[in-house]
Amino acid sequence: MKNYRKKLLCAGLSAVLLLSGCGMSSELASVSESSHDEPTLVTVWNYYNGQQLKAFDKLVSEFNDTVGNEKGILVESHSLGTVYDLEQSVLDTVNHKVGANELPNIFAAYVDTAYAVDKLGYVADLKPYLSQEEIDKFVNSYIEEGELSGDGSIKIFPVAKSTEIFMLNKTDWDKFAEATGADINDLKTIEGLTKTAQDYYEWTDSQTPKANDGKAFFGRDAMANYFLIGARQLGTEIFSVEDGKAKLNFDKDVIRKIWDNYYVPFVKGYFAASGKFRSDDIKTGNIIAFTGASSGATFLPDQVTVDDTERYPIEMEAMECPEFEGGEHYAVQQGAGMVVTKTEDEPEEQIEASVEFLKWFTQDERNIQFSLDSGYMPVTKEANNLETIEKDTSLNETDRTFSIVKAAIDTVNHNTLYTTKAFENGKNARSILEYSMSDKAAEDRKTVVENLQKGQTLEQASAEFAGDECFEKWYQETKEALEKLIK
Amino acid sequence: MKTKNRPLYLKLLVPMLVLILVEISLLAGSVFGGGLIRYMENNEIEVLHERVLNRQRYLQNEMLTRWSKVDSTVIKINQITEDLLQSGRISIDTLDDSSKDCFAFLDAVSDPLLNMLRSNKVTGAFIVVNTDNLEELSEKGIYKNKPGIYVRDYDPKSSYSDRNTDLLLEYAPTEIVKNMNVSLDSGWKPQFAFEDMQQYGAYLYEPYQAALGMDERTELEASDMGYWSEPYQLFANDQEVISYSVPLILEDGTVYGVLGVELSLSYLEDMLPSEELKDKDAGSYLLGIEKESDTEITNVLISGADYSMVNGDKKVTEIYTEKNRQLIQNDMDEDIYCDVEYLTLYNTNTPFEQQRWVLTGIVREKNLFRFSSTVEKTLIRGTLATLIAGIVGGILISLYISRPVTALTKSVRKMKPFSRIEFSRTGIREIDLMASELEHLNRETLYAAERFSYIVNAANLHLAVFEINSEEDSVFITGSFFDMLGLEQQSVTSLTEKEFRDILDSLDKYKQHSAGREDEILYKIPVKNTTVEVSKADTESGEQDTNTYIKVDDFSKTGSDISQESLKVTEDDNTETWKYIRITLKYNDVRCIGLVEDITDTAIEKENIEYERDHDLLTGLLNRRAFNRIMTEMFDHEKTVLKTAALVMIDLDELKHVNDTYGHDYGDKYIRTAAECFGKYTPESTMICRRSGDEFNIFFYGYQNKDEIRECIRNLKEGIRKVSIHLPDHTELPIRMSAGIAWYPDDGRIYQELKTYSDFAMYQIKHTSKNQFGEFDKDAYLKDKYK
Repeated sequence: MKNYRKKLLCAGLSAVLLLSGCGMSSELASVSESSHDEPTLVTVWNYYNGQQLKAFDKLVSEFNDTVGNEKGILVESHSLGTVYDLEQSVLDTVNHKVGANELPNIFAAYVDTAYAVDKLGYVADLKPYLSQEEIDKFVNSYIEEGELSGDGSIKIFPVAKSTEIFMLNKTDWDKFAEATGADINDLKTIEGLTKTAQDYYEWTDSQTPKANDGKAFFGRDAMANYFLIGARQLGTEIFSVEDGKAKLNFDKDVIRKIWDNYYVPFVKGYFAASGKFRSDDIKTGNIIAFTGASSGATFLPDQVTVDDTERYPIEMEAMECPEFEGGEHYAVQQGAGMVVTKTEDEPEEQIEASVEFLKWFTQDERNIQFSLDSGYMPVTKEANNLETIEKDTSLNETDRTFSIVKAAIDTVNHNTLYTTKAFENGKNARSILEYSMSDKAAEDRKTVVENLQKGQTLEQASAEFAGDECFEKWYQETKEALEKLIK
Repeated sequence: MKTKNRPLYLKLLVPMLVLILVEISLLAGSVFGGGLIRYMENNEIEVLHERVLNRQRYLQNEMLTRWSKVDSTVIKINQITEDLLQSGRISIDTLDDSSKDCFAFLDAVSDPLLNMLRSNKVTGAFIVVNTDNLEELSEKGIYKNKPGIYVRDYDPKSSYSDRNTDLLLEYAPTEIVKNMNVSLDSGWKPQFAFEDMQQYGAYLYEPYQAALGMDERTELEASDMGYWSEPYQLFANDQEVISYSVPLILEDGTVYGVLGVELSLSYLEDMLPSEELKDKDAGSYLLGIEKESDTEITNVLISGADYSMVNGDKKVTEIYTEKNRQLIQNDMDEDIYCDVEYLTLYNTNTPFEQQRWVLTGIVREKNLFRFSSTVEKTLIRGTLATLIAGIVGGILISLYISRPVTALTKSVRKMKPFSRIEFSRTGIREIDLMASELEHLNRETLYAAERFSYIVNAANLHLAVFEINSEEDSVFITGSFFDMLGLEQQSVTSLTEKEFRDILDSLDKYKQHSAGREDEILYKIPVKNTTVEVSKADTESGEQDTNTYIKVDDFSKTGSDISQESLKVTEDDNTETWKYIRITLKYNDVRCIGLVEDITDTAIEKENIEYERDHDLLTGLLNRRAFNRIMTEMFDHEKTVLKTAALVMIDLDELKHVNDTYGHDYGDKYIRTAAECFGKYTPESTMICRRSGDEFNIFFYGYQNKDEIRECIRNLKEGIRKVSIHLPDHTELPIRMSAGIAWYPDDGRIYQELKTYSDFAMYQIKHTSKNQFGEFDKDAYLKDKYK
């Protein structure tokens, strides 16, 4: 008995010594390695600015203080200024360019960039982290958009969507409408819009003694959308993607119609675009209406600055976009989603933590709040309801953003949302659509302006551009360029 | 010398403890006393200094060689201005009146401005056109908007697009906007909105006024008047930025505006990774400006959360020095260490050189010295653990070692001297060796003792030894002790003193008084006989031997020997035999050794000799010598026993006649028969002796009076009358005697007297009647004596 007890005591003593020794050495080691109990760090890259950025950062803080604190997740948000900067940075990183940053855990991206990054293998499929119930919460086409490889995967998590709406400088329109009796309903069709633009140009021109100084009525932010949605409304898909393979359908008649309702009015001066966004053109009084992303709502101008000294306040009104006469009801679905990255040596917890944040972020209440603050639209079925929104938030008719939110939700609910799937060279193909016609229009407009200054009439000055030949040439060139990309 | 003795475990434990204490003191002393901790702290401070220094160098380098490299652009712009002025497209007087007036200028400089924005990798670039003395205007409270361009790149690090899609315009005239193809920021205004803000931005005011204030003799160039501003915002809720701007000066000295670059604080924050100071979350960088005193820094930018944790959102940081270390004042009453490095942004003798920009690395003491304090704590804990382990271990070890030794000592104490010793082993070689040697010694001793015992037993010496050890209250006895004393055999080899004395006391009744020495005790002990009926099967004659055999213990023979040598004794059942045991004592300090000897043989022989000496062979009566001896003894020492006594002298009648007539055989028979009569017809305690031939003495004593004795004599006479011997001639001869009686104390008190008187009395009878008992007649004696 005594022996046993002594042995036990000895064993106990040596155990204590060993442990405390180990404990101390590991403590030293851990100190020199400098670790507190570290939460999982989730870095998010976005391209939000101003109001949107504030709204986003506010939600990030809220997450960190609540759920993040509980679950040991710390979200760090970085704004890279513009979606372009963001995409560039991401691509630089995944291509291991010198001086590139480390890949963030989450980044906002459009389909094309997500596709490019996914090709390199850095995109995590979120399907395994979400239950079917959770997935069904979202507007179907939003989830489908994130299915890059057509295999039911979810590689883009929808957080905020936008569509295009038509925004009108109501103040100036009223002056115009009063003077000329123009009908606002004309603006429901594209053809009607073109006509109204011409009327506006001629009316403004007539206001001044100077000839050919009419003002442009309308501008477009996204040319590629015009092509793709317009074609779709007219019954064709320019880029159809099946099983990751893209097919080109550059129907001449359809394209002609598109051409006639932008290029021609543009060179004639009925449409204009200077500066980066058409909302800028509104601000400078260059145009009084434009089609742009509903997410530009927070950037809407509330005054026109004519010059250093002259400015006047305006009211903007939002409406559903004009559609091609007799065409099907299609509207564009845009808005960058969030892509969760994965790298080889990244621990599971990183992805889990990222998904945790995204799920929290898109919970109805928060989603609605963010949407209102940022001008984006909520992504869940439940939240895409004006009444729900009015009920859950303080939004009401008097808010500036109200008409935009209404127009956006109406657009979502009255149309089929459409966006092209990602495909090889998709970005470049889209780019062609974006710039090819509009650049040419800007270029050719300069020539027309020169001609006008030489004293020509508008008819004369724009003759060479308004005809078939010009279209044919452009059509062929563009088609070939597209065909090169889409084999 | 008296050596103090201490328990073994203490003798082990105390030195061990002392040793441990000494070792630990040495260790602790060398570590802590040697300033190891302070050295490590200083090292940490040095590391901090290095890092801040490196960061300062990097930052300064960026600031000087990249961000503020505006010279070439200044030159280009000045050139453009000169050209435009020359061509008359602009005029100095009207230049800053409106955007229209400087449109040509702004249009021309927009590209160089954007290029500068790109190549300097800054977050913004601006150009402000101004020809007014702003000081004067400010004094009057006049704040005018100024034309210019302010363009921003929110993320200069990412590669730029050729479509300028990453840029935003803050200020630019409407006309310019249309041409620049840069989007408008939400806060865009066509002019620098000083009127709204009711102040002129320092980025314009300072360098512009400094340039104005320079007189023509100055050697300074435009770049010498470059100004690094404190943080500002362009509009409410705008991000905070700092800028570097230089005045635009024409050849003729006209100052017409400023050119500048902007750096957002968030962009700068990325340049100051506070994590590099210490571990993550454990340090802050402070970028600030010392304006007047060198202990006060105006905060420009703080990166890292540590600072706000101790100083909240203070705008100013104070530095103080303590024990050669720099610390910052804080609300938390902690020691917050810092390292201050100066950024040399201004040359000497430039207008803004009083503004000294500093980069300070700030680390809280508990973070800065985390490693050294952990080492310290670890050392302390280790020391304590060692100490405790040492003490506990020491105790355990010393107990472990000393326990077997203690057990050994205890067990030894319990050991009896003459038993077989077995020591428990202690595991200590020397002690175990000693133990085994002692065991060996003990075995030898035991063997020696046993040998002696064995020899004694083997020699059949009938010897036993005992030793009384009063000190230990034990009496050692040899095996045959009990047997010899006729006691029941006990198988102990030692008794307590009391037990022993009890045993001896029980033998007191057998004690003999002998004329032996003082240290001798003699016991006459009866031998217990047990009768055993044994049928001997194989006698020589083949007959059943049905005699009764007596086993005599004295012979210490085993039962099996009965059949061989048993003693056939008389049929008399009640024979008693004795043995004589002599105990001789020898005293020696506290011991008393006793020898127990069976001297039965010697004693019996002695008895026989004495008997023969004292008794008459023929009659078995006492002889004259013995009688005399006894009588003398009695009269000398035991007179009280006598009381009334009588000495009778008897002379047998006609003995001579018998001897002569019938022979000596019948004469002997005559004497013998008479003797038998005397014995038979007198009481027990009567002393009878044969003096000689036919003379006898009978001494009656212890009676109350003479009559009792007379009665005895009468009985005797009666008895004698009855007896006769049978003669060969078939006649019966009666026993006739003449006897004289002398009375004690009446006749005499001395034996001699009585002898003489009884003899006289007998003689009287002999010479008169014969065959009579006559009493002494003193008168006759006297008469006869004096005849």
